[in-house]
Amino acid sequence: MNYSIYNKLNFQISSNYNRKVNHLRWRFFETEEEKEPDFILNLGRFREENNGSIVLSHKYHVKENYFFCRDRGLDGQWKVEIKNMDSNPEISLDFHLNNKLKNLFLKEYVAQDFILPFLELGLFKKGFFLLHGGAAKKDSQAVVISGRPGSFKTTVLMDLVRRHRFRCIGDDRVLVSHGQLRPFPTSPFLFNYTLNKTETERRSSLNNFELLCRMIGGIDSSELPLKSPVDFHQIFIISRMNVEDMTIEPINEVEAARKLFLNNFSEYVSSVPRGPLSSFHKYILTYSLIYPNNAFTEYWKVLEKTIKKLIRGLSLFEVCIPSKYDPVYVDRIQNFWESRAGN
Amino acid sequence: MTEKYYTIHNIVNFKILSNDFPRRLEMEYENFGCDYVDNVDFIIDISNFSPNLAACRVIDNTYYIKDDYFFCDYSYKFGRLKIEINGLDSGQKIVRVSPNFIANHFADMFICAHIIDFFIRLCLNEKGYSVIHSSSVGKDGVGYLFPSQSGAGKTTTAVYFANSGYDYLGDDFMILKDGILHNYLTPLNLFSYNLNPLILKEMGFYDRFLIKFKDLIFRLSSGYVKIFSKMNPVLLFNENIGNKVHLKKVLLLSRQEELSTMKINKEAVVNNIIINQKLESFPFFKYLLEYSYVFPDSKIASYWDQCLHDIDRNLVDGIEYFEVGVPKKYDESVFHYIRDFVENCP
Repeated sequence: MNYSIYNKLNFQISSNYNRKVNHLRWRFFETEEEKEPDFILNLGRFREENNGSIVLSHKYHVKENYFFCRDRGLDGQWKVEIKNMDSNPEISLDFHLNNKLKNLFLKEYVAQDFILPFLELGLFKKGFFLLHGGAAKKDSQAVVISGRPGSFKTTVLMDLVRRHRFRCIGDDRVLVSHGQLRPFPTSPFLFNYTLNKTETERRSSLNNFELLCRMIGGIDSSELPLKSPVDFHQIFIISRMNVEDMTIEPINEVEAARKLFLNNFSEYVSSVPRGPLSSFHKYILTYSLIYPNNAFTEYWKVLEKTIKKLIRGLSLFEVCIPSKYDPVYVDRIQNFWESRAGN
Repeated sequence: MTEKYYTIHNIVNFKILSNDFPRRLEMEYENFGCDYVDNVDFIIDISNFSPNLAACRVIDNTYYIKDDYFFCDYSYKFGRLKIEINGLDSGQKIVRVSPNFIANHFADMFICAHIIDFFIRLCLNEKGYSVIHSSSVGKDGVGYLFPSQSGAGKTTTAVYFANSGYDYLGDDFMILKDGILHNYLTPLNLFSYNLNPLILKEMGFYDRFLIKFKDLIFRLSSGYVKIFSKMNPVLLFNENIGNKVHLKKVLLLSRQEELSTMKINKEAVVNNIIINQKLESFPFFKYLLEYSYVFPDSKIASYWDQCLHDIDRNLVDGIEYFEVGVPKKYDESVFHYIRDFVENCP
């Protein structure tokens, strides 16, 4: 299946199983046109070509522009190979989940997450920053909601949609260039299902069962945002905090750039091995032992500075939301945003 | 509740409080043990505790962070861990670890390798010392450093040299400041791949069987379960233990198809050492990252930059740098080649 992100970045995902659920993830970017892919992901069984590589720590195979390893973590076990690391990568990933039910139907769907760092790097080369965060728009103005996992970022986004008639243009990632956002839905049906079927973002077992059935059947009736760019002037960096009341404070560019950088970077780092995506940084670190000036290391070196330039002139706020969530907090965020919108 | 005190060359002092001191925990820092020390740099308190989570930022329902404070609660391999750190960014660090964990068979191993070792390194780093994942030997006041990833030959190299008239300084980590190497005498980490025949001689039948058994587990679990056998170097090398030598040569070891040696520049070595240090610092690499997110201006946030700066400074002028490709089969002939290279190469 071919995908194109606003004609800037093209990629291909192929898998051994042509399941309907496999096409749900990046549906927004599907294209019929045959374009030269900037990178390719092959899912499922493959034969690695790791002869002649140096073996590090008994498990990582490295040679020029090439990385391979077999690994395991809390989520499952996998083997991954990356060829042409520095130009047009060809990635092969065979991922098995520990959860037997998920493994039966969803393993390739989950494995597709692994393209995220390649999307990030590829889009960066074309002048975009793929920010880890959500965004919503109202009356042709957008707001970016960024935050670490568990920070109520998704709840805020959903409540903006539910309570204030915003439209979601990014549930987990947003494509940013100077003062403009482009929609980047990563799991639109998941977001919309949770939005419509639950009052908070907790899905019950019944919800999850229904969701699984829909996924297997490839049913996605979610409304997708229009592809046009939207202006934005404000970024809210959300944290969950064990306090009694919510606060909104301005934050300076330097701190905001660092938090936005770390929020992206931390996706590829975990304290214990989990899955291939959160082991990605470790793989690049290992690869850097032999090839220190590779594309990803160079990207991470310049990313924070680039973000700082990108957010220059924007209004940046830090929002601390109490652990005991109350929807009235979103009302206050909305009012705060609205009073400053359109400037 | 027992209190045990430890000192690392009087540079870093710490104490461990616990009701239970499993054998592996005892063995690990045996050579640092001392009587009472007045001002400790960190305390490891293995006892039940209630974390103080008021006013903390909560990340991923796992990390609880506020100024100078960190708490997390998570699962690792076979255990569940609760760890609380007071004083993370400044001053004396008080580390509390939940004791249910220590009853678990692998817990003591985990606590050493992933918690106590990290704080030893952190406190040494705070005082400007670099801690390098390497082995080292010395002769006549001059030292040779062998940094590498696991599996490339640190222990094997050190043991061969130590049995060949050199002084042993360590097989896992080395302490370096302003060109001077200090020994770091933790037990040798023995596994099936680094069993030197000289060590095998010292091992009884039971120990040799255990090594084979652990190797089998390692293979069956695709590298997930790795249990080292430990041996105190002081018992092995007696008087041939060195300390405070001037670092003369750095030989980066890497596993290659064939034996090879090559001159390299300092930058490549510094890069290698820092990356290796990051790879060795999990899970704390992640904890520091999350702390830096909440406090981007803290000392912790610039920890890695500081380490890089220090290693560059501690590798003083006049040191020579080489890379040695070590084949899978590391036998005496390989060692002789390396020794000749070390002794004769200008």
